[in-house]
Amino acid sequence: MNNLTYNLAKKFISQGDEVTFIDSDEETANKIEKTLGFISILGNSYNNQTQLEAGIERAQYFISASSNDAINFIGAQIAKSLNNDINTIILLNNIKNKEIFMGNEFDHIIEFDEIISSKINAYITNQSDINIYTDVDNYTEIRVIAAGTNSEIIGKSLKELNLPKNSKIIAILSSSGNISHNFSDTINPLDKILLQVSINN
Amino acid sequence: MKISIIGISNLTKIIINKIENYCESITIFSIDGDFDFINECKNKKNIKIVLVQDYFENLDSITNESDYIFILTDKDFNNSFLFHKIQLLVEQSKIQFFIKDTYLFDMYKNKKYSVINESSIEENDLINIIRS
Repeated sequence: MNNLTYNLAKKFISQGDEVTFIDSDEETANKIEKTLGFISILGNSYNNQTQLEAGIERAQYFISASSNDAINFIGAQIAKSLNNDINTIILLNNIKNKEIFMGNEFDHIIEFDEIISSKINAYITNQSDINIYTDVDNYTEIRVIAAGTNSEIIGKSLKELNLPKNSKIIAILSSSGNISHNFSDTINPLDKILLQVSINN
Repeated sequence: MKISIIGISNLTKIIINKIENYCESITIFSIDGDFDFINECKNKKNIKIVLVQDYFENLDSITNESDYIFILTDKDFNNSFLFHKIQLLVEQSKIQFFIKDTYLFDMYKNKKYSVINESSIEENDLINIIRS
């Protein structure tokens, strides 16, 4: 269990899917039980009996997402051997190992670097706060805050935003190209807020 | 004949006993120092033990100039993964890898992989080739 699989499990459970964790660490199993319920099995993911206990024969997906590529590899091989119809999704931690995952034994390979970059990209797309100009004479910066498509600032007015102290709004730029100076409007998806911010001298 | 062995496990000791008199040199790569075993091997001229930090970072020196490679660490998942990595560098007939778990052993045997365990040593083709 790690943050990745924990968050995935939370989503799956909220969608009504059945999830079972396999982990050899008792402390981790207790943590899962406290937060997500009795859905973990103590054992190694590369043991056939443990996988059977976890219900591998009727599972649709086996997600092998430990931080050890060797364990992910062998765990998915065993899952396939016990349930030929199962979809295996494997986390590839070290890009140097990619070649041996490229055979037809596995259904989906997800690179760790790919997850990180898409997460960063999603963050930047959804809400970014970028400095575009620093005026060293006046100790100010011109910044752009982008609302993206899924940011928590969407639907809020400028007053409700936690903007830096002494910041002055210059304009709100909409995705259609409109430049608005009506600062009582609420923020829409893809809006960009242009503002001047004081910096410490 | 030059042999490379990865890992010091029970099977390493058994295989060494079987092949040491038939080999020009045996190099054992290990990440942990089993000092009793290292002491046992000290007086044997054709056996060399190389301590490494990581097997995967040393695959070139492990595979270079060796006629046959045995992957014999204590962990099945490491042995399987090392086998899959090494078979990209060396033809499969020159490699044997140790699997303790019987289910896994049979799974790989059915896939015609060069797998070995303690009960299959006697009929192991590679050991018989080395001894012949």
